[in-house]
Amino acid sequence: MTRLFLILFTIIPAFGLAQKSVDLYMIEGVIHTASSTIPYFTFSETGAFDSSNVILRFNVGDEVTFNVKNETDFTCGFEVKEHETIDRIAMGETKSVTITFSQEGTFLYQDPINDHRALGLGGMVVISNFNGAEYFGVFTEHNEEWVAAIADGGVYNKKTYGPDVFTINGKGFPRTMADSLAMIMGHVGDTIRIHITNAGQMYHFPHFHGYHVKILSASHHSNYEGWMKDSFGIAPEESMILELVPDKPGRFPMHNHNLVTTTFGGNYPGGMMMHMHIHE
Amino acid sequence: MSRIKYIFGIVLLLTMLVSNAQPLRQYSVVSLMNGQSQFISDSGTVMTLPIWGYAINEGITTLRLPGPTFYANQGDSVHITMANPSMEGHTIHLHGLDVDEANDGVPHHTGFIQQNESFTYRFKATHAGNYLYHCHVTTTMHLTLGMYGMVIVYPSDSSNRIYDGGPTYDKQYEYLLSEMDSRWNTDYTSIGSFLTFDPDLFLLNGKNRSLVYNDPNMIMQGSIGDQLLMRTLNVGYRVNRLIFPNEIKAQVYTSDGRVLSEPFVTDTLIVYPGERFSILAEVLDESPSYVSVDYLDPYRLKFLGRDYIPINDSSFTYIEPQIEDTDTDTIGVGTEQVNTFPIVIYPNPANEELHLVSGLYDFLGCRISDLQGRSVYSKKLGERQEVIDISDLKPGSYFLLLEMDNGGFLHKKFLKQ
Repeated sequence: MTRLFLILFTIIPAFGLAQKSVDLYMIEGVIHTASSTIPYFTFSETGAFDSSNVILRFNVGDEVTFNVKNETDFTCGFEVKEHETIDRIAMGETKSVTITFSQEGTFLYQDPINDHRALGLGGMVVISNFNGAEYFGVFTEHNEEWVAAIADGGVYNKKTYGPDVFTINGKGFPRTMADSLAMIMGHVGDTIRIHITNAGQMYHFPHFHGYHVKILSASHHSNYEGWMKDSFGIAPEESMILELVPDKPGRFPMHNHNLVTTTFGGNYPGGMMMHMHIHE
Repeated sequence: MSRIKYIFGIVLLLTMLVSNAQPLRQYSVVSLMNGQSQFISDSGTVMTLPIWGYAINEGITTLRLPGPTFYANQGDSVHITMANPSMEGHTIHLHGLDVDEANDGVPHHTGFIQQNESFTYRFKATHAGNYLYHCHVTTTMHLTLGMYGMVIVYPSDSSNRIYDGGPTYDKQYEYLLSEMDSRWNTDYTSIGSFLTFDPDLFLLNGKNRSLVYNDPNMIMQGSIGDQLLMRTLNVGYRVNRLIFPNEIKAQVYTSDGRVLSEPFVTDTLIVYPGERFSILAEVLDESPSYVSVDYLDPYRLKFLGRDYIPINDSSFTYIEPQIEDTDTDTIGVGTEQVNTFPIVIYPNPANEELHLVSGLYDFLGCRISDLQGRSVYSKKLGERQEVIDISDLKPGSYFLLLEMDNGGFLHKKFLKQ
């Protein structure tokens, strides 16, 4: 019996199982375009507003407690897709939920109430034991009219949706180039994993210059799994894991091929575009 | 003996050189901004719009939509020389061909071809399949004004196989899908914000509606058992949905120039912007039929327009699509009432109907009372969006009591006109 305990205590740390805790603050801020300032809400790990929802990374087997504090002035909720949900978190309230992640995967986390994700409240949880380089992109778009109505109690027409800005990790090109989580760097022959989540209301269409990527998993497009693609669609609330093995050096863009989204506030170039930089 | 060895060595060397030589495909094009093309409006009138694009460089050039198709065999080297006599800079981006940075046509990295300059794009066609090319300068505008076309790569032996060692086909058809905003093409200088893109022309190989069927090459023709290859490419910004008829069996073999590990049979295929598919359509029935090609908005995949690919029907005429809008989720409600429920009732004042919308909980029931507290109406409810008939109420002010499925109640006041 003693031997069994010893074996268990030896094995569990070896697999990296751990209890972890993360504080998430739901906070209001703004993003700026050339002509306007748009209200914006994100999940922050520090309590300070950042236009990027924090990207949360854990290992397989981790038991994670999410302490979610609602610092907005309306009732919110919290959900990790395919896992757990906190139905309601009142203004100023903190609620917690604990999730044990038993498998690798990439998942949307969000405020699932109403259309609160359209306020910006949607990010990515990555469960990975992968040893190579990994990059992360949360695709989102924002409609100023919707955000104002949702946040301030107005009425908006859900049949029409005309976003003003398009972002990856809360940033529009060229700011995406300075995002070390999204800007893919590597060498020829590397095996690189790219995690993408669509936290927006629309379908988006990543296109890779220079390379095809292998789609390892796709939560809403399971038919894609195993395909080599340079262009594909990602549905709202969908997450995908891609594998890139570059065969040549160079600088290549990755952008949305609905080219209206490669604008920011209507100006080109901007929005959902970033670059890869592969060395010899 | 040594002379024989010497001659044998020379022959072997020459054989190796010949076997390693890659055939070269050369094309010469110009980029232009002064073309015109005809389209048909929803009302059936023919309109002529300015287009931009590429044309074969042969002295007198005629701009057509789409640009010329470039063909190669797998393993070929391809050189495409583009001269630019037009007043703006342009490039050719070879979409999906995984070319190197110098030939990728992205101005952020390699600049663009300025007026009266030329450049030769060079690449090796490594995989049989379907590819796109388009200008990558101010791409949102240049592409949709007409600067795009196809690159088709055949197997190494240029046989009628989809790819080396793949299934054979009897005939092939190329379908390039795109859209156009006639306002943008009419005067590109007054486009304004690129967010205004609102396509009203839905194009198959640069044509729409009946203009598609005036081109006999667009109509698929086959006898029972024939295998018809449909090369389908989406260069537009909208989602395409192909709906195949019972008269054919559609089997998808490749996507984005790569062979699928498991080809699949389908009656519907979604083609997202930038995607390409090779679909083998086996004719099961020679009766006239058609493939529907729908254009869908990337938000909620709302239907925008339709074209048709006729099969064994040279007299096909356009069928106006009858699309029923089943999307009932119309009104969003903000989160106005802190610590209470986000509820909206409208219109207020109201005449015949009162609409109730809840952002958080379902309505269980409602009761209307007048200002003296007399109950004048009640109804069981069950959804987050409800409509109640108030046509029998007398004009005046009323209280509306709403019961929610979380056990809560809410009062609203409204005016009946």
